[in-house]
Amino acid sequence: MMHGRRRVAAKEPTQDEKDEARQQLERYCALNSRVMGLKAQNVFTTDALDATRQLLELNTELHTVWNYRRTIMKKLDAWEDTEKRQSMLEQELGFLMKVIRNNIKSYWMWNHRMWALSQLPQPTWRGELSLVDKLIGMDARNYHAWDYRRFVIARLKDTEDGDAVDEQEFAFTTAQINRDCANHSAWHNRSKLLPAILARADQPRREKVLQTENELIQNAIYTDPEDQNAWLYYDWLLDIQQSDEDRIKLLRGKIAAIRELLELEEDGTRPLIELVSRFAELGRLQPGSVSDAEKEECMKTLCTLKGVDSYHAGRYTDISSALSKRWKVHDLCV
Amino acid sequence: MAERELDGQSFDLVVLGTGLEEAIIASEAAAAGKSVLHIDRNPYYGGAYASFTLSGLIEWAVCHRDHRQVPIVEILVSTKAEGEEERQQQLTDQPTFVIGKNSQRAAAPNPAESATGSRASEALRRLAPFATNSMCVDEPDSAAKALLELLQNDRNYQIELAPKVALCRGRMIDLLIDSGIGEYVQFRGVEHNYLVRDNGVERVPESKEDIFASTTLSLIEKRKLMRVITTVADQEQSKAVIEQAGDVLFEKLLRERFKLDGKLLDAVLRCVARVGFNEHVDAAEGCRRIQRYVTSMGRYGRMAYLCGLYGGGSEIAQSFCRLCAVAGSTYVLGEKVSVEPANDGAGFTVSLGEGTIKAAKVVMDSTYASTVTHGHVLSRAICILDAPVLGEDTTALATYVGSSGVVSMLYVTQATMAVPKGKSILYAWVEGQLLENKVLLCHAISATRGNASALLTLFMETHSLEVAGSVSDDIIHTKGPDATVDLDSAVTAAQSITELILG
Amino acid sequence: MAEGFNTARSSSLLVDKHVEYIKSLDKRQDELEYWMTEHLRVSGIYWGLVALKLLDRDSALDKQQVIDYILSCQNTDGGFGGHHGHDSHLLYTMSAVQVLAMYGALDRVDGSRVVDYVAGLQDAETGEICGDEWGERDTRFAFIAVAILSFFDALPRLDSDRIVEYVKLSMNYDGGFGSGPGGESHAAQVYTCLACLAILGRLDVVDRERLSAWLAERQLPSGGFNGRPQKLEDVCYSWWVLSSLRILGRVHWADCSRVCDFVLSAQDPDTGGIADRPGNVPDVYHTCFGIAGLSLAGFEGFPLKDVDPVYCMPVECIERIGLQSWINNVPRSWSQEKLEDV
Repeated sequence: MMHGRRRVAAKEPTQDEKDEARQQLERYCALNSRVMGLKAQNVFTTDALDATRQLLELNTELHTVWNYRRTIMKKLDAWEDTEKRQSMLEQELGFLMKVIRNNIKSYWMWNHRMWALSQLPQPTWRGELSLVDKLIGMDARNYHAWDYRRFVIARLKDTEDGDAVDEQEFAFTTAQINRDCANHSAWHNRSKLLPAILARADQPRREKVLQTENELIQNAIYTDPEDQNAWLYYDWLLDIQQSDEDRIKLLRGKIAAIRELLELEEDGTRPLIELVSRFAELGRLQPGSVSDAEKEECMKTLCTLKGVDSYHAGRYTDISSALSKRWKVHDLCV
Repeated sequence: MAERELDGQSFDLVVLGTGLEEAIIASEAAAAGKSVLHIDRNPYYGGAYASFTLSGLIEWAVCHRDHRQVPIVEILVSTKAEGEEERQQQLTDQPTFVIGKNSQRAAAPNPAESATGSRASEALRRLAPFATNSMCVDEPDSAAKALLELLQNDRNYQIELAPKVALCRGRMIDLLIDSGIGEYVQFRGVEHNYLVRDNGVERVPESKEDIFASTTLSLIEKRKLMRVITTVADQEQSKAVIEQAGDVLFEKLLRERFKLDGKLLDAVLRCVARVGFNEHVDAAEGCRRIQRYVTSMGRYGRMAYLCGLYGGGSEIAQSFCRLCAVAGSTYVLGEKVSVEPANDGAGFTVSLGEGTIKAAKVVMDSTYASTVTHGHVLSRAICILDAPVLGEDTTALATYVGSSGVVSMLYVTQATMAVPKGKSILYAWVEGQLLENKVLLCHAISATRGNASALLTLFMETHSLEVAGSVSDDIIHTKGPDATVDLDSAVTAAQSITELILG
Repeated sequence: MAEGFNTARSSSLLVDKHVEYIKSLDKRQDELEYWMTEHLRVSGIYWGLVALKLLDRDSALDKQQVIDYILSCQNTDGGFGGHHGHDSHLLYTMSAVQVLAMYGALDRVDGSRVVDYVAGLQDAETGEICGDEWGERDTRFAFIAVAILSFFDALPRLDSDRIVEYVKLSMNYDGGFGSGPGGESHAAQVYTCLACLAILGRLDVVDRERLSAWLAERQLPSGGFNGRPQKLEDVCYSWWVLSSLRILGRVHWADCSRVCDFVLSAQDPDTGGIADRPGNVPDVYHTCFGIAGLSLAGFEGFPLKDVDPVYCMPVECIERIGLQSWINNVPRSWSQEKLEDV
C-alpha cells in the first residue's frame, strides 16, 4: 500500500532511465532470489546474514527475511558467547537506525528492534529512550515511536524505580503538551500514567494532582475549544473522580466554563454540543437537577446545531430524540 | 579610488549616499545593466543607516553627522564616585555632553594622529569641548574614566543609527533571497516580543503554544487571544470579519468584536500590529498587519523577525553595495561631491575632487541636497546597559505603552556580534521632538532595563529631509529611515524609485 | 496538483477503469513495485477480489488459478505466507481464508490445520494473540484469529474471555482502541477491536456514545476521514471509520454523501484505481477500501454489493458460508437507538 505518493505527469523515460530502472529491478530480484534460496536450503552463515542485510535495506517489509535474519543470528557461534552476542546485537541496532531512515513506519523493523533489545545480554534502555526522544522530537505524533516508547518504559521500570520512571514520563507528556496542546499522543499517554500516580498518592496529593490536571485541560479547552480531544479528556477526568458528589461539582464547573466561552463566541459549535452533553450527564447523575428552562435550552440548542453544523446532523437528531424521551420534552429536531 | 580616471566619463546613474535605499537602487540598476557610479562623501558606508564602534559613533556625532538631519546629540555617561555606592543616576539628568546644532563641526581625524594616540583617548579628546561640566582630558574626571572604560571594548560595538529588523515574510527577506545576498548576510531570530508598561515587562504570547503555556494570562484572556490569532490571522475569516464590521478603526474592532482591552489590547494593537500612538489604522490594514506577522512566524524558526548580525541595516546596505560593485559599478567614498544640471540641458554634471562626470540620472540621499525642508521628526535613544536584561533572550523587540505615547524598542546582546560580552544595548525611538519626548524615552528604557544600569545613553533627534519641488524625474531624493521597526518600508521606497529610473 | 495529467474530479465511479486496473496488477513484472510487494501478494489478491466482488465483476480474475495459487501459499505449520516460500503470518492467513471464503472454496483447505495454527498463537498466559511464532502482539491479531476461527466454526478453540479482557485493556479515554494495552486510539485499530467484539458477541464492553462521537469527528471538511486527530484524511479510513460506525449502528453520524465525493475524487481517471488522496498514485489497497467505503456509505451512483462491516467481504459471501452478516445482526437495543448515556 502506498501513502502520499503524488501522481506526476506521464513522461516517456529516456533510454538511460529505462536501463537504470531495469538494472535496479534485476539487482533487486537477484538479491531476493538469492536470499530466498539460501533460506530454502537452511543456510545459516554470516554470508547469508549479510545478504539479508542488503535486501532489508532495499525493502523493510519482508517479514520472512527479518525472521530468517533472526534465525541465522541465533544459530551463529557468536550467539553463544555473551560478549560476542552483545556486540553482534549492538551492531544490529546500528543497522536498524539506518533502516529507520528508509521507513520509520515499518512494523517489522520495530518488531525486530524489540527482539534485538530483548536478546541483548546488557540492554541499554536509557539509550533507547533517548532515541525515542529524538524521534518524537522530529514527529511528535509518530504512532510507532510512542508505542515503542511505552515498550521501552515498561522495560526500564523493571530495572529502575518504577514510580520515578512514571513521574518522569508524566513530566515528559507535560512538556509535549506545552509544546503543542493538540498533541493527542501525549494526552493519551498521560491518561495511562495518571491512574497509577493517583493510586499512589495520599488524599491531599491526589486532590492537588487532579486540580493541576483540571487546570491543564481547561487551559487546552480555552486555547482551542474546537479540539474534541480536550473535551473527551475533560470527560474522562470526570470518570476517574471518586464520588458522584465530586463529579457533580466538576460538571457544574464545566458548565460555567462553557457559558463563559459561549459569551465570547455565540457561534462555536463545540461548546454548544458540550453544553448539551454536560446537562444530559448532570441529569443522569442527579435526577431533577436540570431545570425545565435548561432542558428547553438544550433542545433548542440541538435544533440550532442541526442547522449550522449539518455535517453532524445525524448525531444531533439522535441525541435530541433520546433526550426528549428521557426528559419527556418536545423533540424540536423532528 | 582613482577619480582622475573617472574624469569625463558618463554614467547612466549616479547615486549619492550609501544608505540602504540608495544601495538597493544602485544594485538593482547595476543588475539591470545600467552603468552606475556610487559616491558617499563620508568615509563609511550606510548613510543614515550606518553602524559604528563606540568611538566611531562619537566621531560621527562630532565630525560627520549632517546637522540638518540630526540637529541634537546628547550623551549621558554614568559615573561611579570613589568609595561611594553606585549613584543611581536618572536618565533625565543633565547630559554629560551636548553636541548641538551650533556646535562647531570638528575636523575629521588626522589619520597620522589617530594612529599614535589610542582610539579611546582620541574619542575623549574629541568629545571634551562638548562637556557640560568642563572636562580635563589629561586628568580624567569620573565621567571621562567611565567613558574610557567603556571604550576598552570599543571594537566589539556595532551601534546602529537606525536599528531595524527584517520581517521573515517581508519584502527585505524576499529581496535578499532574490538577489542572492541572503547567502552571506547573517541573521538571528528576534526571540521575543515584549509589552512594556510602567508596571512591568511581559512577553507577548504570539503562538498557540505561547498562549497555552502562559502563566500570566487568565483562561478567558487565552481564549480572546486565540480568537484573534485564528480569526484575524486567517485571510478568509478576517475578510468576513471586516465586511461585517464595516469601516471601523482596527482598535475599535479589537475592542468590540474581540472584546480586548488592557494589556491584551496593547499587545495585539501595539506589539503585533505595531499601531503607533496617534496612528489611525483601519480594520482591514490592522488585519493585514497581523497576518503579515503571523505568516512570518515559522518561516525561519518560530520568530516573526530576523535581526541582522554585525550591525543590521548598515551591514545589509554594504552587501548591496558589494553586489553592485560585482556587477561592475564604481565606488567612491569620502569625497565631497556636487551636482548641477548639465549646461546642455541633458542630464547632470557631477563634480567630485578633480573630476567631472556626466550622469543621465541622479539619485541622492536628501542630505546631499542644498535646500531642504524638514519632514518627520524622530527622537531616538541608544542605551548601553551593564548586563543583559530580558532573561535568556539574545535579541528582542519591545514596545513601551505609556499614557503619553508608545515607544518602539530593539534589544540586542553579544549574540548579534554588535555588543561586547556581558553587556546589552537597548534602542528606543518615538516620533516627535526630543524636547517633548525625552522623558517618554527615559520611561521606556527604565521600565525595560530592570536592575541593569545604563552605562552610556545617547539621545538624538533625527529629521527626515525633504526636497521641495522636485526639479525633474531624473533627479530623485531618498528619504532615509522612518519610525517603523522593519526594513520593508526602505525596500518599498527603493523599489518604487528603481522602477521610475528603469522605466 | 502536478500538471500534465487528468485532474478532473470524477463524480462517477470509474468501474471499468478499476477493473482494468486490478487486472493489470499481475502483468506489471517490468515494475520494481511488483517485486517489492511480492511478499503480500495473497493480501493483494484479497483486496483486488473484494473490490471486484463489490463491483460484481469478479469474473475478471481466473478463479481456479487464484485458488490454486492461494493454496500453494499454505505452509506446513498450517498458516499461510504472503507468497510462495514466505513464512506464515496471521495477516496472510486471514487474506487467504477470506479469498477462499469468497470463492466458496473453504473446503479446499484442511481447516483443522488452519485452526490449529491460529489457536496455537494465543498466549496461554495473557490471552493475547501473536501475529506469528515470533510473538508480535496487536489487537489486529485478536480480530483476525477470531474471524478465521469463526469461518471454521471453531471459536471455542480460543479463550474468548481473555481476548475480551485484552481488548478492554486496549480501550482509551476517548472510547477508542489502540494496538494493545497502552496504545493510542487509531481508527483502524478501533475497527479490528469492534469487529472482534462483534464476532464474540461482546460489544457491551464498548462506550458506544463516546466512541461514536470520536469516530464521527474523524471526518474532515474534504469529506474524507483521518485515523487520529490532527492527521490527514486518507481513503482507507473511509472503510475503517465507516465500518466501525456501522458496527455501532451509527453510520448516519457521518456525512455519507461527502465521503463518497472524497473517495471518487481520489480515483485515478487515467489508469484506474483509487489512491490515498486526490492526485496521488493509486494502489489496490486503497482501491479496495475506497470501494468498500462507498458501499457502506450507500453510494447511489452504481449498484455496489453490500459489504459486511465486520469481515470486509460481500454480505452474500458471508451468508453463503452460513455466518450471520453483521448487517442483520446489530444488537436490538442499538438498532432502536435507545440512548443509555448521551
